[in-house]
Amino acid sequence: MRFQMLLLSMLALSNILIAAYFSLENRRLEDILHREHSLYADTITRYWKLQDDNMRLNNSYREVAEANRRLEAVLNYTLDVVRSIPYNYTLMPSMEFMNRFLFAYTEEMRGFVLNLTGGWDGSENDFRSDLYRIYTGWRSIFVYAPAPYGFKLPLINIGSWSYAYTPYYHDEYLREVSSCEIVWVPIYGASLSFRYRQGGCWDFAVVLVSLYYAYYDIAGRSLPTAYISIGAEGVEEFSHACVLVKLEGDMVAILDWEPITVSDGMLEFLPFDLARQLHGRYWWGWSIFYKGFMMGRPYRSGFFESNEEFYRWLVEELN
Amino acid sequence: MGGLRFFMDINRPRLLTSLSILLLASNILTFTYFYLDNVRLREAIEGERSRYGEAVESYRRELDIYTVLNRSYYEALEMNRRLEELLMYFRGKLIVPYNYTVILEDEAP
Repeated sequence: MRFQMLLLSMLALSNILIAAYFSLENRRLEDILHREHSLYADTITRYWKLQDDNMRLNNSYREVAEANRRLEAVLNYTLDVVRSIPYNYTLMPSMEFMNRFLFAYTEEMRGFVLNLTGGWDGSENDFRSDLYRIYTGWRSIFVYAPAPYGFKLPLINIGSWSYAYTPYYHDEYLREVSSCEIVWVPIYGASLSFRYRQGGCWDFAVVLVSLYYAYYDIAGRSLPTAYISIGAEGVEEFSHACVLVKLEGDMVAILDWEPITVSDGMLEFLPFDLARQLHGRYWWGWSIFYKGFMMGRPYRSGFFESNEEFYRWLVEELN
Repeated sequence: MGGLRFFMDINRPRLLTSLSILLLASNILTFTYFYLDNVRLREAIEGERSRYGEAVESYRRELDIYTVLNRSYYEALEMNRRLEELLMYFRGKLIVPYNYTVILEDEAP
């Protein structure tokens, strides 16, 4: 009887213990399972994201690589063109070339100047009369007629630059340049205009400035000399070019188709206001204004908004 | 009370035996149920660990691909910049004879 009671008690206790032990153990295992699942879920999410990133990165890479292939084709074409040039050459931005070439004089021009002047004897009068002789010499052989402008140089024209952003990192890259061609562009400059000996006021003035530079190099003395473009108030279609030589301050000599300031076979330097009046008188009494300038050594150019601005430039900057 | 005593008196040995058998069966069932659940959980944990290991392995492989792709991408981008620089260098350039003054003199009409 007692034994049976004891057995019953043990069985009941064992039942409780089994249930309690396994409940705790299984709960612990469930926690572990949950943790393991979280780790897995986290890793697989990162994996999927990385997979997606790789796909987009791969697309980005392919796009840039494809763009590079297109750009290489353009570059190879350009190099082939450049390699096929049959003479020794240098590559120069067209503006830089103009800056170097516009007022450059040739040996022929130097000889022309030397022949006209015989060089400088060191006196002020000879310097001024030489400047006048150069003007008259050039004016006597120059013909006012359309210039042929037959000489052209090849220009590498690479156009339509198209940029894009990569899909992944959003980096900007050059996607395409859709046109690359060699364009032959006409070349303008004093040496060509001198050789043609004909042209418009532009050609006449540019060559005269260049001849003066040649003379300054021969004489070893120079005066600030510039190509000047002019207009006239109330005469909108009038646009012309002349040459201005500065002595000092605002003392200037102006050379148009005719010399505006000359006396006794020499250039005469007059105060600017007076020279401007004489210049206006030469142009049928028009009120002349000075629009812009170009000069070499080093090349400079600019435009003026008003006569006051021109005057300030003349006195302070023209050196 | 009289009725209960009568029952206990008459059936006590059988009742105790029946209860013992019941409790024993309950013990076995409880153990079996929890044990099976325990085994299921352990297997699930093993399965999850295995999946986690595979995911980690896949992630590492993808990371290697990412590293290679990333390097290639930046190399391509760098190449793109160099090509752009070169094309910019050639853009708008005149091909000028080296001694252009002399050549222009010779060739001008």
